[in-house]
Amino acid sequence: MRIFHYEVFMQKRVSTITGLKAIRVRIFALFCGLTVIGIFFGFLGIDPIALYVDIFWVNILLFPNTLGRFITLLLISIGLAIPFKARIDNIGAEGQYVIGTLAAFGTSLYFSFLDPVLLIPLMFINGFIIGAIWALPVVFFRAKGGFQGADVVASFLMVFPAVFLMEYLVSGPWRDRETGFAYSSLIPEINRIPVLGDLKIYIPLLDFHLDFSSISFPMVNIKELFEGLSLGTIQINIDTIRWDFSPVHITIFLAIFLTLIAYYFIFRYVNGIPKTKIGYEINVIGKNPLAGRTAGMSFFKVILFCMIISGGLAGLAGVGEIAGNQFRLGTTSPGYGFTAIAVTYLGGLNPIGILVSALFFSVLSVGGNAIKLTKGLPGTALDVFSGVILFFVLLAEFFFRYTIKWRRV
Amino acid sequence: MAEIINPVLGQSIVAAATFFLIPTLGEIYTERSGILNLGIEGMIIASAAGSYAITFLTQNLWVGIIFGIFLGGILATIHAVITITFNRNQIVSGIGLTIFGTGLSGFLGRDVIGKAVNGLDKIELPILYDLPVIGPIFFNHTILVYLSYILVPVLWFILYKTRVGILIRTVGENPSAAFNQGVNVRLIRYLCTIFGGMCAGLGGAYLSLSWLNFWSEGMTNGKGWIVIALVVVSLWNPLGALFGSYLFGSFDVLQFSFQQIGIDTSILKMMPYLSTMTFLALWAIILSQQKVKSIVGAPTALATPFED
Repeated sequence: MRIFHYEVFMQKRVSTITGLKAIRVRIFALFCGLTVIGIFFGFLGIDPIALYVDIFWVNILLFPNTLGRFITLLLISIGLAIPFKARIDNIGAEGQYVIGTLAAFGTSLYFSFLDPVLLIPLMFINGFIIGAIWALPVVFFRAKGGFQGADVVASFLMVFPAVFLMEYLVSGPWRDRETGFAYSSLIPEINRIPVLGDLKIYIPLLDFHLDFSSISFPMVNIKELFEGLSLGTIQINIDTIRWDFSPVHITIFLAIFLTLIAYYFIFRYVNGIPKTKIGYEINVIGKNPLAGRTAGMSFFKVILFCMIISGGLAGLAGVGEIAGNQFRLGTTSPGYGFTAIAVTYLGGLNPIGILVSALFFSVLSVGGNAIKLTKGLPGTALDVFSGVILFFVLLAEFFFRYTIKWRRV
Repeated sequence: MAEIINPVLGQSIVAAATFFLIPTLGEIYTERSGILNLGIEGMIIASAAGSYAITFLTQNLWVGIIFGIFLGGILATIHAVITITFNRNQIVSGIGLTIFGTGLSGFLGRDVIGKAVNGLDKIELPILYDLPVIGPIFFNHTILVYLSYILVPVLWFILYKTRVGILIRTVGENPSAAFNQGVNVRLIRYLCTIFGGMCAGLGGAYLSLSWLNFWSEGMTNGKGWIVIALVVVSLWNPLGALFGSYLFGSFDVLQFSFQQIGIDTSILKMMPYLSTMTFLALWAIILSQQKVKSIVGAPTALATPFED
């Protein structure tokens, strides 16, 4: 391609870049994405730098809420990374998540005679099973579908029956008669997942009580500092920040544990080759299906495995959110399943990367929600972030293999 | 059966089917050239919001509709740059486009939620309207519906009977053979993708300005994905698209007839999605036979990047 007196062309790299360098390219792409979104907001008359500072400051104030969101996004994204690696494009995590919330609520309703010690694990088991069942059509379409993209369409179409089933249950059988709105009743307090806020840890050596219901520390008010800087003054106010960890339910330990398990059993590489058999098969089916077929791998089994884990984890996320954070069902779905797609790709389909990118998107999500009203952002603002970042992450992958060179003609 | 002949119901089926038909025709061209654009949903919803907002601002319907087409084309260009110039995964890029378009629609439409705009007027076609039964059903619509009647045979003719059509199909069938014959594969794919985006944009404008005449967040309810299923059901053929769209359009409308029996509306709303799934499953089984695929002429190089 010629631009003025220069010829611009793409050149293949000698070797694909990996490891730290790849992370650097990804982070650079992320910054490019955020810049483009900033320009976009600038056109709408919203000061992008003030917006990002706001998002950051809100998250410092509400860090426990960020962690609460993090649990949900992490569980769904880990579940997505496994099928994505095998090139099964399951974009219906939203439906599997919604059905998980239904499973949790239903369990607490119909098994209320059980002791909470049994009931809460049963919620998780039901959420996993029903989420996995909801993901099963995708297996059929990926294994037997005669055309490209069948699995994508099928997985997405399954979102809507889930949402409408929730709408039906909440406006009909499970409706809370006491409120005028279409909400279900609250999950009884005894059946809720314990939260970090209830934890009190005594550290013997220091003779110190770590109380998660109120951790407070002083910090410079960054927002005011920034506002002062833009006016040309330096304003340093020390605020006391109090964190109440009640939005953080103990599913966070399960989520991190499952992340490490997924890393160890599926994603771990030794000398550039996946260590475990299932990890190897997933990798081959994703990268070179023909080779996999020739080597006699059972596609059906691998796809089934991937989708059961994927749907199950999205279901678990639903259980955690409803029994640990929201406690009641509404009629709309929050769209975590779609944000999780961007989380997964930003994390490079790698559990450790996903840990970081899930935290990043929780920050965006909590910050975006909190300032929605003050800045006049619509409810879909987070989707713009996810979409643009997804584009830039895709472009970053191009630069793993190619470079762009130019020379004077 | 008597219900289908009922002119009011028949009319609403045609109106719903047109919404599926226009984007499907565009996506058929895109997929025939070997590019899978899963961003239909995003382009439709963004254009629906954009054209509605622009119409509200300028009070001129045609400016709004043209803006919708333009926006669809621009969004499709993003997909084209990522998948054709940079050879990236078409499926992921399409998903990104859907997410981005949904987000964009919120921004474009945030000031016009609940505000009224006079949509396109219905025109009774002079002689055809007087035909018995068919007349009131098919010939009492807005101009965009008539445009879709014309588009179907024209696009079919271009795809199967002209040189341009052969080029498009070759590029989707075997891009390297076409490349060696001196065909500019990338250019054709670009044009087809952008054409698909413009059709999706027109579909969006049709949704908010001609069919429903309002804008609300998330108003497409994922119907853009039904379009992608429709392309398969219509076997990548514009004439098939006519058949498929009217079939799916009637699923979309007939759900309301079941309300009288006493089935809950939420359950009925699932119907379009579940019937699409059923059709998709049937077609998936049929198309998994390689022979059927070659008779139908499904684009072999669909969703595979072309590197020269």
